[in-house]
Amino acid sequence: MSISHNWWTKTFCCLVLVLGGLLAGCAVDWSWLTPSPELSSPLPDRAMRIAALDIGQGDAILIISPNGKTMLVDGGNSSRDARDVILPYLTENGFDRLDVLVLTHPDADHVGGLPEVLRDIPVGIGVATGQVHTTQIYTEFLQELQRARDEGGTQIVRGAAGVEIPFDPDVQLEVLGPSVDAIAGDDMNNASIVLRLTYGEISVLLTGDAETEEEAWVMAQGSPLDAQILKVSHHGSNTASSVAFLERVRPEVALISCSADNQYGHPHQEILDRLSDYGADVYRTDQDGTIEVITDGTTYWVQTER
Amino acid sequence: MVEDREQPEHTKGDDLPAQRGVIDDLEGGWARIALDDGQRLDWPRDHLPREAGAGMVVELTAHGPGAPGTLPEEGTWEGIVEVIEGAMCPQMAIRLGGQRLRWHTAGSLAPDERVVVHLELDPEATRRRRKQVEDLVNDLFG
Repeated sequence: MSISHNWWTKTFCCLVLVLGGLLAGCAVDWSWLTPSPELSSPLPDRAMRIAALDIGQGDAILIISPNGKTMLVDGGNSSRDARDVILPYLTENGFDRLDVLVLTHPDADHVGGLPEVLRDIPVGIGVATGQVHTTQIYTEFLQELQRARDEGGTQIVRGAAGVEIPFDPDVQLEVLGPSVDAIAGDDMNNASIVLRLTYGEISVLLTGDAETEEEAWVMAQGSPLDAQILKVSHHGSNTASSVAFLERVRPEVALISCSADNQYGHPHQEILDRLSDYGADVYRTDQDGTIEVITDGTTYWVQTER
Repeated sequence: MVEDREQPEHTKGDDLPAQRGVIDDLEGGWARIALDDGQRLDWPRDHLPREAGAGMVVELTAHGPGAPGTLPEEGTWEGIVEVIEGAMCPQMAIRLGGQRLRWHTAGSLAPDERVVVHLELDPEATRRRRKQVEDLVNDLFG
């Protein structure tokens, strides 16, 4: 059974903001994102948190596991996203390292903040497809990954379907894509690392920018794809989220990371309609700010910044 | 008498220094260009050179009045010069569509002046960068 406590969360957060503003001279404090004792009181100690961080038109998903392991999937657009959003979020939650860092694919809106993250904090395992792409920011990412390996002992893993990534013994982490053939090609979106995390009865599917081509490949492999929580692929573009794919996933919550009024029209209305047809509650970083999903392995809660 | 004005390095006439970047992705009607200084620019796909594709290194040059006639028709986009009042000192920018592209040297162009930005593919730089990335990838993931 799944319960959304979003309304309560928003009401509570509004009260916190109003009271906080009165007490602190209207200063805005990001620490409200951490659930207060009152809000977290119904939550068990060993919860998993998935945060779609509001970094504009791009992706940065942070997972904090039940045993306090951390995994960052993509790093937003720029070093500013790392400095202003990703690293402060980690610090506010009491972490000063990443156990796993994943770059789903080399696009600038996914790799942008990762060189800064690699420079700033230790990383246990760095995962990427190793596709060849010529942007300065991706080159910088590879150079920082190389430095982290040589100086900090970061383990490097090529992210492809079937690869095992040690994360948290209580969380099953499956790498469902891409295929080795896709990595060898030039199409980066369709060589995105696709991850499925399962904690108890709750699954989360993270799809990078995988388009219908990679969705079809992943479906053809026969692995279970059902997931209550779906990070919608490619910022809600109509090049992804096919009917057949959503039929397999059956999401209850759809997270879309995008900026307001982006040039590409993301998320496309037909995808919003399609997600709605499947009964998914859609949350968007451009409207909701940072979105957190918290699960105890049996139920889940969604809370939003705005 | 013609005034002997000192031109910024790499400029020619009313042109500004070039900026380099890579076509990061093609998305709908746009090419997303990741510039080497970290800026992003969405360039209309129908203003790209015909052979443009993702991963290609591009050079952007800005040309002042009089230049458009000398530029090839493909790969150009008209913008307006702006000055951004920064904390330290004013910065030069070019407004292209709804976007503001910071340019690092003012050159001889004045605010509100129309400029043509020309995008040119650089196959040789593309090959060099590809080799550099392949070497890194082989070392890391070999």
